[in-house]
Amino acid sequence: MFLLNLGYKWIAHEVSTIDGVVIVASGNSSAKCERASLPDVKHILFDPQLYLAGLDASICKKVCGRLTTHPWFGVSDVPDFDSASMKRREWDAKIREHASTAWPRHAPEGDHVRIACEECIDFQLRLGCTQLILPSPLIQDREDEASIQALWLDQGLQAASDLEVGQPILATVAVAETALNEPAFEEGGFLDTIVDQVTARTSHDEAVLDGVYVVVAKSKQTHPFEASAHVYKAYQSLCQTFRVAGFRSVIAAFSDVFGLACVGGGASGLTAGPSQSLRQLALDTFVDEGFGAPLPHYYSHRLAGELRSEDDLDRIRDARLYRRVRDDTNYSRALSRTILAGGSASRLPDWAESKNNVTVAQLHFLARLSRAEQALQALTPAERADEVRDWLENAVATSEYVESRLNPDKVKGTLAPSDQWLKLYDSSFE
Amino acid sequence: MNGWSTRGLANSCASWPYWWYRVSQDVLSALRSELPDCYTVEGLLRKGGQGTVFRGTLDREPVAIKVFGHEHEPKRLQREIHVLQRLSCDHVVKLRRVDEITIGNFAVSVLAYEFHAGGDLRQVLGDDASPVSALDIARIGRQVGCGIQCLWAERCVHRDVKPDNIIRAGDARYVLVDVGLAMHLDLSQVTAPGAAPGTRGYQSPEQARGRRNLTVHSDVFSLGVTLYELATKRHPFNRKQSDIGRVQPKPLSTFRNDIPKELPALVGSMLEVRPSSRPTNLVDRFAAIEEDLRCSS
Repeated sequence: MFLLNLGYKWIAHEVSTIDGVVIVASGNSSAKCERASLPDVKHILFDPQLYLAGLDASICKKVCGRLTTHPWFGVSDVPDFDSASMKRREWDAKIREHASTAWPRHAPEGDHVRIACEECIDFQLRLGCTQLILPSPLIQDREDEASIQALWLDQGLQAASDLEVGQPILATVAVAETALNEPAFEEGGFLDTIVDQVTARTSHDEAVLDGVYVVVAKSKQTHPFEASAHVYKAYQSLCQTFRVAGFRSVIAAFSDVFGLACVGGGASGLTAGPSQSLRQLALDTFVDEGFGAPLPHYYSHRLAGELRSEDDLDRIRDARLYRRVRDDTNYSRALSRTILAGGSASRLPDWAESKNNVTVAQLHFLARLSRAEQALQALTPAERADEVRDWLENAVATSEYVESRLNPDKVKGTLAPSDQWLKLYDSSFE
Repeated sequence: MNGWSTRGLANSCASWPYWWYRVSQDVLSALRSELPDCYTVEGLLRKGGQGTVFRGTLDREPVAIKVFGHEHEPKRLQREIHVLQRLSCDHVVKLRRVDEITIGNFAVSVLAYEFHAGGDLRQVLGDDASPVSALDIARIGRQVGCGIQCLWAERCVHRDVKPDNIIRAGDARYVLVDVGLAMHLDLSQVTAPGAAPGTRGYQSPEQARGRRNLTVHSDVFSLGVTLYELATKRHPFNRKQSDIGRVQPKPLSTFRNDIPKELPALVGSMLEVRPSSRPTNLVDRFAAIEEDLRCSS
């Protein structure tokens, strides 16, 4: 299952191959969620993102403002949105201001946990979600936070039982990259602790846990292909272990292209988004200053890499390598035709390498990634595992060949560390 | 003979806490004089790290009277009381009454539990004892598994499941006792980080590492060790805690060829190193084996 992360801008209707979305709380206030028309897709999920409760409102005003509108963050006296008396922008300013003083910077505690769970489930039911994601704080510490997460899971399941929900229920397992640097992670005990906590709580009365929604939060935003080895290992290990433990749904959230390796190892789905901030979960993404204007990149699945639309593709064309990296979708056919005819992306307004001209490149990326994921889901688990290995092996060979032919210059875009992914992938099956 | 491993009072006194010395001249008479009239106190059953236990009666029913000294961690005691008062499980010892009395100027808590005279399972591990039948192993697995699951429903982990803490009740029931070490999730801070309470040789790998937020999977491991030991009269890890998690025990079927193959497989899965790989639905799994054994006999 490929799920598109929906932030502030909802683009699901533009990619026909996408059959599911995850509306993320940080990009969408409660007022927007309740008023907007939902995308016409098979799977609609809402990520409550309680794992962002520790954000600093003084530097993440915009996002904390949106999050305050969601009751499970436990912020009181949030200004109501009244469309008759104010514009959305005015309300946005008000909630930002409110967040600057009222944002607690921690998840609700004590009796408020149960209330928060009820509010969160009720919100998702009203939204019309097809699967429910139980809220959970970020695990930042090997011991205590996993206990706190367990308490939230207990309360969430109890609330779901009381509300007699019929939808499949997913537990959030959100782990901070900082927690992965502990020696215990190397020994394997840390992730076992997390999995132990969740698998010991598979039901409460009538509410049965259907699966897990796995998030590994990077400390700093880098390209999704440039995460630390620990982040990739955590995704791979958690997804595989939860699947072996018998969960039907295991979603590698914000796992981007690496999510395909998770699917090969047992995950039932992955999520990604159009922009860097929605393709991965990096905690400093939410700081108010932006990260500059992006350039369009051409995603080549065969290469497991992203190429600058002019700088890289022109050189690849000149080296007669385009057929090696070509990976077409409806959004890239014109580009391929142009390049194969000896032309350049500079001739195509949708692909010209100029700042913020990224819409079509993003749609191409999402279409290609979702197609790859759906192709995997059509296979048996054994075939899927082999298919992912083949893809990674080919990507290693292709990227080495392309880089060697472009030598001494390198690709200016970003290639996935496919050799590292392949080693990790193989070791996960040992 | 009572159901507890009785030790001599005089020998035990050497390791007793200070306040016991102060009243050692006549501990029993102190208890007898301070406890309400509904009690009788008959004699010492055992002394453990979690309190000293006497045999007696409460309202003419036999009870085990556990006396906690003032040095006992009050949170831990409150937890034991809280857990047992909420539980209604035939396979976890029932708490009948709680009292606070003063002995020798010290306040002590007294808990009266139902008393079972059938003996603990350590007794069946003696050299002279006959092997435990497959049906009994499955029955113990189901019943103690039920007790463990009942505790976990209250999000409580016993942390000291071992033959000594499983008592045979008169009505063919097996009952888990000594809930004093049990860890409730809300009170997980009671144990200091890194400390590993419990009995060496029966601790799960994660418990031995001092993990605080244990789950039901940890008790499942300890029960697995216990069942293995009952079935083979051998400890699966030769009583070496350091081997647990590192050494693979010999399959139970190596020592017993008279038991159905499902039983070694289930006990083996209970001894998995990774907690999430251990089964939790012990009642159903052992009940199925029990049923098969009954049908085949």
